[in-house]
Amino acid sequence: MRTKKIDILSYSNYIVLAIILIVFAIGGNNFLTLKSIYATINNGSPLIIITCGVTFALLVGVIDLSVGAIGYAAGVAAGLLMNRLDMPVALAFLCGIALGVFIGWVNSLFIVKFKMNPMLVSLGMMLIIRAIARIFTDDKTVTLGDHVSAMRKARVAALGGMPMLMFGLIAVIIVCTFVLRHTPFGSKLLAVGCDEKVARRIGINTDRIKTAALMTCGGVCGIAGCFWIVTLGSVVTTGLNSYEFLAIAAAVLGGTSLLGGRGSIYPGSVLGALILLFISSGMSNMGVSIYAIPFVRGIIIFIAMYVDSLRTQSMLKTPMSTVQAKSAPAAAKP
Amino acid sequence: MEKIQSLELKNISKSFPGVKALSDVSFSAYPGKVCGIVGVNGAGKSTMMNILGGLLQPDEGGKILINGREVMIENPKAATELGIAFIQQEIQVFDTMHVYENVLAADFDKWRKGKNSLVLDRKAMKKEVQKHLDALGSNIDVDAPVYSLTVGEKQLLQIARALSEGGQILLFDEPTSSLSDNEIARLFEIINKLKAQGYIIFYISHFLDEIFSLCDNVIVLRDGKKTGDALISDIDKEKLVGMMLGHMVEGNARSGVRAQSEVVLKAEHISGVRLPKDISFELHKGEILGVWGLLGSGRSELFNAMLGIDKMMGGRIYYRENGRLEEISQKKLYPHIGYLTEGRHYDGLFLDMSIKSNITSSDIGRFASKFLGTLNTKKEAVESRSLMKQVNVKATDENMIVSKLSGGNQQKVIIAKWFLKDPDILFMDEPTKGVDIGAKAEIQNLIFEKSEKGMSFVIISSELEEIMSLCDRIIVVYEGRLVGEVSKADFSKDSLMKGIVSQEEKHAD
Repeated sequence: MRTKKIDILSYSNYIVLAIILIVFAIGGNNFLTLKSIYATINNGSPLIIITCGVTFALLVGVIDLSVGAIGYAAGVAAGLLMNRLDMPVALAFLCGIALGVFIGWVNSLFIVKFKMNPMLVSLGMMLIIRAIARIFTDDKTVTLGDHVSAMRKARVAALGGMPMLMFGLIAVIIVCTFVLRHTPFGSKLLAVGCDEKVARRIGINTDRIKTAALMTCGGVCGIAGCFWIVTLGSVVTTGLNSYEFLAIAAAVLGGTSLLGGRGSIYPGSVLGALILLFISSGMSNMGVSIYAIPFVRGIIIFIAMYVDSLRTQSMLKTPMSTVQAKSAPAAAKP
Repeated sequence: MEKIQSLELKNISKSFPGVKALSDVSFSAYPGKVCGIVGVNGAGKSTMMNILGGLLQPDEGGKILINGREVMIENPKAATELGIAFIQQEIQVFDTMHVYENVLAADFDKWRKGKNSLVLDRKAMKKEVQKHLDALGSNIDVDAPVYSLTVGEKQLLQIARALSEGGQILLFDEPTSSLSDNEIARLFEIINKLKAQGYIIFYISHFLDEIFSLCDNVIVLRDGKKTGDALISDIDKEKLVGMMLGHMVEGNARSGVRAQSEVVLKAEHISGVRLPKDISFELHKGEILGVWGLLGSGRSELFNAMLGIDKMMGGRIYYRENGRLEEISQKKLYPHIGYLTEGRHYDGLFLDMSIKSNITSSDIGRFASKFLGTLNTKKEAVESRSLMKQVNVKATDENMIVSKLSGGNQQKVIIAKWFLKDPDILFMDEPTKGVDIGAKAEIQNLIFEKSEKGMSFVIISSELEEIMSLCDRIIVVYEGRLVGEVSKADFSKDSLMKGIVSQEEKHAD
């Protein structure tokens, strides 16, 4: 009985996503076409990637509020380098991502080394980054023009006009999933998040793992920043605003625990982000007032948190009923 | 790693500021033997094990030899490398991860597919873990998530972890404290198996029948000194208890028997989730009742179940109010009692708050105005000052932060807190634990004074001397059951131990 219950809960995201798609397909106007789905995912790629990034931080128990700002900073940096210094696109992107990694490292310096509260450190970091980025852009939109338009417009005809950018998105998801699932680093990450004290006691260098997790988070958010400026074709000063909250909500929606130690990139966080994205695109497709969208998102987050608490409770309950059943054969032996 | 043939400890001492936790302890252990380590709380068992596990360093002059060569165990990692594995009392697992990951968590990097590969070889990991689990005779699924395991199975993971790290010397610290009877039987099977395979095993326990059924020899510690080292076949329980407790001065600080006064509290058939089991007792007005038992006997659990901290599975509580003894719910009883818990830092004090706030916290409503509920801080200060004086808290003033006080003074603040509430009954769990001798005497005198004025006390203490000098009557609990009641006239080490020893013997039969 116990395992069955958990199974249903762990598939809840697929079910929710399916329900959302069906509801909007029925109620909406041409919602379930390939073109509109591609558009939703493509425009939502910054959110999906930031959600992947913040998952790394959440898994070690750090609620990183600077993720949106890191993406923004990386986008601004890459955009300015292209626009003002005429730097090659690839190199500009690399610089943006490196900036993300660096900010992640600064965060970890405060959080891990100086033992400051992660939420407040990253909140402060968010304000600082946004302020600096605005100074550099003079609070004006930076247009990127030809630099990225080719990239944005490229489509794969064979796949019904799938934007080329989506390959990049899929690659990011695969790499993040791989790192978390198949490398020693990923396993250590989960161990540290699950119980830092135990992890330290059995010999895992918890400080190093936390630092690496925050730097990975920064780097992935830097990638999100690059996607953001490509999909938009310009750098706007209000970009990626409040994405930290959307991303954390999406990750939790996808089953990542705010306490760390439990969660996944795919299916977890990616599905969580997709749910939020399709809710807003579906609602605008139906012509619902744009002011209602955050309201519905809020409701969805409440429901997600309730499902999460159900999941946690069923996990924390020590399976007492199986104690007798399982050890009975042992007792039978003299 | 070469096979360990012998482990010797020579003249190991360990001093902490103000306390000598171990002095000059020597013993040796050999493969294929289970060596029991016993002693009452604070005897130095844990210090001993922490030294072996690399968590503490012994004082100058002590030596640890493996196969006759002196070794330094500077940290837990060094201990692991030497083949020493510590299976701790608190279960150390990662609940959200899989079984095989838990077993091999100490060194994930070792399990990459190749030297330069980034990928974990999960197949090899599972195979390795399966090997160890098979060796332990367990049928746990290596792929199962750990949260779905029972406590006993989680403990088995720790043993498997110790084996996978190449442990040859296994230290078990109170491994049965949270296991069911079946699981204990299972664990013993495994330990015997490991013994037959030639591991060196140390087994710390408070349960004497476990020591007798499992160990080959036993080392007894008391006050940091080795007071016994014998083959298990050469001694019996009474002898062992004698070594653990030593000879005591049986002082009597209080005369007069209070048992004749009216009953203020009556507990009938109190049972908790696991402990206690069916305990009944009566408490008289102004009486000091002792609850004595070994650690893990369900002493604190009795308090927690009675007072509604934990779930009470069965039983009734009667309380005298307005001259009549009537059944009362735990919730309604709580306003009439005080509960000094065992963990001073954990749930006894608001460490970052002032002495004043701590003292008045037990009855803060008294200082609130009737109309708006605003606090009269002046009155708070005056009353806390007078209580501080009464219990003799040494501090600059009532605004001092509690965490800056010494242990004894902190304990007095807790007592002042409950005296402010002035309940009819005060439950105390280890009221003088970790307190210096001076403060201990003061606390005992405060208890006497208050009981003269009609306050009743129920006191848990691990120290026989203390409980015997303090109490009018002592009930003895063992494995959650009430096994004896001793009145003041009959107080002696033997009369208290008798209940426990007879139970142990019943077990053995």
